[in-house]
Amino acid sequence: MRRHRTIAALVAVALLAAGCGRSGGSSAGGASAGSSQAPAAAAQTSKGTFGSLTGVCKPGHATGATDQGVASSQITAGVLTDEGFTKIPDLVNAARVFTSWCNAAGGIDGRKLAPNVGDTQLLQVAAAMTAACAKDFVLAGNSEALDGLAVKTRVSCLLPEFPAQVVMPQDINAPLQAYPLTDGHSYGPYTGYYTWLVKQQYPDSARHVGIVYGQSPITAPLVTAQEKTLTAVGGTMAYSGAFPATGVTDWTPYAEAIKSKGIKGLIFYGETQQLAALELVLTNMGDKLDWIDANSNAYGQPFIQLAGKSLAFQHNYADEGGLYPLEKASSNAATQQLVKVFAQYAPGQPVTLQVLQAWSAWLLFAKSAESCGSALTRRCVYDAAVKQTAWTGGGLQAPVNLAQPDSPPACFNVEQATPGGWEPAPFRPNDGAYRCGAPVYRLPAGIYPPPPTLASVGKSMSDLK
Amino acid sequence: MGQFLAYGIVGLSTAAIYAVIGSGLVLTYTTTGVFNFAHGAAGMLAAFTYWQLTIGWGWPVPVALAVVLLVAAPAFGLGVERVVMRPVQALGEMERLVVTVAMLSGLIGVAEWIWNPNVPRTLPTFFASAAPIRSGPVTLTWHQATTIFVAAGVAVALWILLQRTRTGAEMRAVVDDRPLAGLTGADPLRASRVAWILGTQLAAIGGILIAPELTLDATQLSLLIVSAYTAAVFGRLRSLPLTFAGAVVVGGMESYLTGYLPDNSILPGLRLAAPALLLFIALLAFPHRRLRGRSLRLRPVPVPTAAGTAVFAAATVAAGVVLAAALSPADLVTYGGIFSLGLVALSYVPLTGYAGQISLCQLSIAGIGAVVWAHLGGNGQWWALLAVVAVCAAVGAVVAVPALRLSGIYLALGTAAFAFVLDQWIFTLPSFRVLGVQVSLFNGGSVTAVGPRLFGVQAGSEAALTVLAAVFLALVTLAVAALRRGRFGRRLIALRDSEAAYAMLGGNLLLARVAVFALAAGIAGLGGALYAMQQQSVTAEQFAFTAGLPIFLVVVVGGVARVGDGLFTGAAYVGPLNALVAVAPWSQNLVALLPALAGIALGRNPDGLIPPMRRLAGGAGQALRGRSRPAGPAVPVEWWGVRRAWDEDDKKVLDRGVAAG
Repeated sequence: MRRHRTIAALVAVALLAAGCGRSGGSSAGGASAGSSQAPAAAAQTSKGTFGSLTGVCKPGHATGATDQGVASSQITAGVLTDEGFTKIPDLVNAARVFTSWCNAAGGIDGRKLAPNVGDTQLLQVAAAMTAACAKDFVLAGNSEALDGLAVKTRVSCLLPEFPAQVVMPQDINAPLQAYPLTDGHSYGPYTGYYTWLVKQQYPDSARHVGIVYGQSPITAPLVTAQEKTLTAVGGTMAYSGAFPATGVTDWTPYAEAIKSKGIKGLIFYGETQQLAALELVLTNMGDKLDWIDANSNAYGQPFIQLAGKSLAFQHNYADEGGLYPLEKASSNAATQQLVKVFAQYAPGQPVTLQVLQAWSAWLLFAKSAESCGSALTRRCVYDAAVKQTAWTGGGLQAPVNLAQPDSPPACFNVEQATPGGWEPAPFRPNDGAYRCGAPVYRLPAGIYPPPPTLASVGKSMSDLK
Repeated sequence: MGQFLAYGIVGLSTAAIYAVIGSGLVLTYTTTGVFNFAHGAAGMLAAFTYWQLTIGWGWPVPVALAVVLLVAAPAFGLGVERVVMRPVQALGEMERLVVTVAMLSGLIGVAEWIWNPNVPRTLPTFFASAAPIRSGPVTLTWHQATTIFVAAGVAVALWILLQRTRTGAEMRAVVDDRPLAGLTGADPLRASRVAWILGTQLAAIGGILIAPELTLDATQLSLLIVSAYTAAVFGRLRSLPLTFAGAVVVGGMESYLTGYLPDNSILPGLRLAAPALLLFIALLAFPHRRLRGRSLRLRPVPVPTAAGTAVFAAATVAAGVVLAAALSPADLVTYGGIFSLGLVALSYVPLTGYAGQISLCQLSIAGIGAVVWAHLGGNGQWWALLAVVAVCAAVGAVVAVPALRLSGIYLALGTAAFAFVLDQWIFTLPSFRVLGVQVSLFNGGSVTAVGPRLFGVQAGSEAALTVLAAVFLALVTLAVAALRRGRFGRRLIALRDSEAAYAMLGGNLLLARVAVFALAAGIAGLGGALYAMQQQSVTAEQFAFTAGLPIFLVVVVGGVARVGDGLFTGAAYVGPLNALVAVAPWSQNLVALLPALAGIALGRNPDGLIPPMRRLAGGAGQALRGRSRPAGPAVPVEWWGVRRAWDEDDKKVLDRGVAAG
């Protein structure tokens, strides 16, 4: 369900300029820290406390170089990003702000957090990962579009990660991964969301669902998984249209196909700006669909600007996978605190969905590391993280059970794009801001390539010290 | 029926865009002999400028249009003609092609530098507030109608210009015979200028027309025009009416395939590859006139000395060993590419340097090599490396057979089409069965590769793989140098110099071409397999057509006939781009422009960068030995042996000059 995937393959077209980058469509610029509303009283919390998590960072007397990347005075956590290629600074911002905030509160039992940013330039994931293997204690708040290319490298060097986002299927539920959002490798994504769309909100659309996706070997298994899931919850795929990842000169043939096949619900799997272009044509044709799954990559201000007049005509939805909506920050203490901390340490930088995910990952790492005290090792921090059975990131998200990473999506929440911005859709929440208890669908074997195991690289858990 | 009509109308509106862009391509190509890969990029730049004027600075649309189309585009066209193109005008087809590739890469870099790619930008469509025209199942927006009208207007205007004006007559004269047109008082230079101005204006019109329906994205807008290439090839890069017809065929085909192709796992990619396939078919089906500008300047292919090559090969291995010893494993994953991508680059030396065949699909073939290695050499079996070379050589031979009909720019387009078909279709296929064999390419997105077991030792570490790749590069460099000295190499050069003469003297064109394509593909495949081992895990994007263009660029910049070009390209392509950014992150935007600047500088140094580097090295060597020869002023050839002593090399030089005619 929580597949907030950067559309990896679609970014790669810009290789031509050899290292010259562009948007990967993952920028989900939401609330701007600079323009946040007056901080609510709830946000006035003591140092080192985030939301409902107390003592995440605090002074202490931990000492000793207990593991690679750990010294008496500091802990080096790697942050791999594609920033050099995508030019999206979100993950680096999150790392800087989190570590500044944490260090100001005294660090992890007195040890300061030092982020070590590694840039993959999109394609050089293996090199960046090898560098991280040689230096970092763990990876935290990281996300690489082609993460599947380096997962074996990471597992071989027994480097635990607390990723902000997992992209390729090979990396989902990989060993030594503590991902604070459920993303079960064996389960269909978006079951709750699709059920709501085709069974409850728009039952007429159930037999008329189409998917339009950017063609690439990487997107192929993800697209198949979505098609299977939608079918499993009672929908029928009536149209499947691939487009070249390098772009489309004219979206009209696709719009014409959508219209002539009577498609009422559309899943779009590509870059946000491509969706905006397709919707413009659909809107100009006067083809009003029941729903369009814009996916959470579109969640943010850029899509609102790009889609323009289509927003009033079409219904765009996105499954946030249980992350509290950023535009409602004022009614959630933890989200509000995140916006406020960002305004303090990185004024003017947007708090986006990726920032939110990275923040939850950093919190998970810090909280786990803090519980280890002086004896900070990879084993200790990883074990502590996967003991969390109801992780909420202090209130940033719906609870997630890290002890069972390969589990079906538990809770979800749906956002809707309106001309005024994103807002929660009427998706009938049953647990605060979220809806939990979605139907479970087990994916047939072989759709997702399996992640490597510790055994496949000649290691076992007992090697992790 | 209504449906059918609707798709037809949709196809027409797409066709109108291809027609405008394609006619610009044809106009520039016929008049100047330059097939402009940067044509789409010029349109992209125009669209961004138009956005800046109307949305950024709030100018009224008519003023902005006038400024872009009547001031900025002509100025840009003139600038390109004067600064970039004129120096390479007299050079070969390959150099001109490379300069436009460099421009493409440079323009994208510049646009992304000026306009931050993460800021969303949209342009309103023309007549956005007017209600669309509806008739039965057909809906046509006024923007689309405008596009169709503009295309028709462009067709009429071009016809009038070419048939009814003096400038047009001059341009047609230059198209037919440039020197003759010059003799009869026409000004070929002026015709070139007009062609560049008009070509850029047409690109700008195309860019401004498509940008509102897409969003402003430098890369996408620049690369969209493969279908327009197909239209241009329908016009045999010469005829404007046929180009318009080709645009209608391509636009209609894309539209109908979107509507009527059944859904299954094999076909979607086929539809996306359709324009490229059509391009391939059009290239093969239409007779091509004699290529313009062929054999203008055939430069001699240098003969590497046995000793020099041996020293160079030893130095290559030494460089590999030094890198392996000095760099961290993480850096080795990056810089090991110097040797593996160097092999891919080296594959151009026999193919393009000796035999004169321009291929734009060498990196794609390297991708095939990587896949074959990943699947057959899963445990590092040494024989799988042989299989890699064999399979890739077979693919190269298959490419060579249809390519027999093509040469020069047509061959470049044909191989580009092949690379596109691989990108869009073959590499994206799910696993399938062919002749009872389960074939799975990048099924699941990526494949993993391990180092080979050679002589009982598993080359697993980054250092070992770097040295291994360096050794392979050295060995293949030796082989390519031996090829140049041998009979086959001389045959290839004869093939390059004149295919007709080669055939007349009893050479077998088919055999020679198939052999050289297979050889080059085998080398590229080996490079791809080694690259995959270094990266441990690879995906199709790393071998995409667009990723291969910069390598081709650097290869030509290095000097494609030199055996040292493999190492040079590897080092130049992998080295500065990564090292500079690592040292000075602020230089990233500038570094992205490096290949482009190097390519554009090619006009000043048509033999590539290696000869000056060799002179420099040679000079240093002589200085060390303390007997530098004084470099007097060059003596004109007719005074050799009179004003200066006859040199033993002089006869060779004269013979070559006579042979090249």
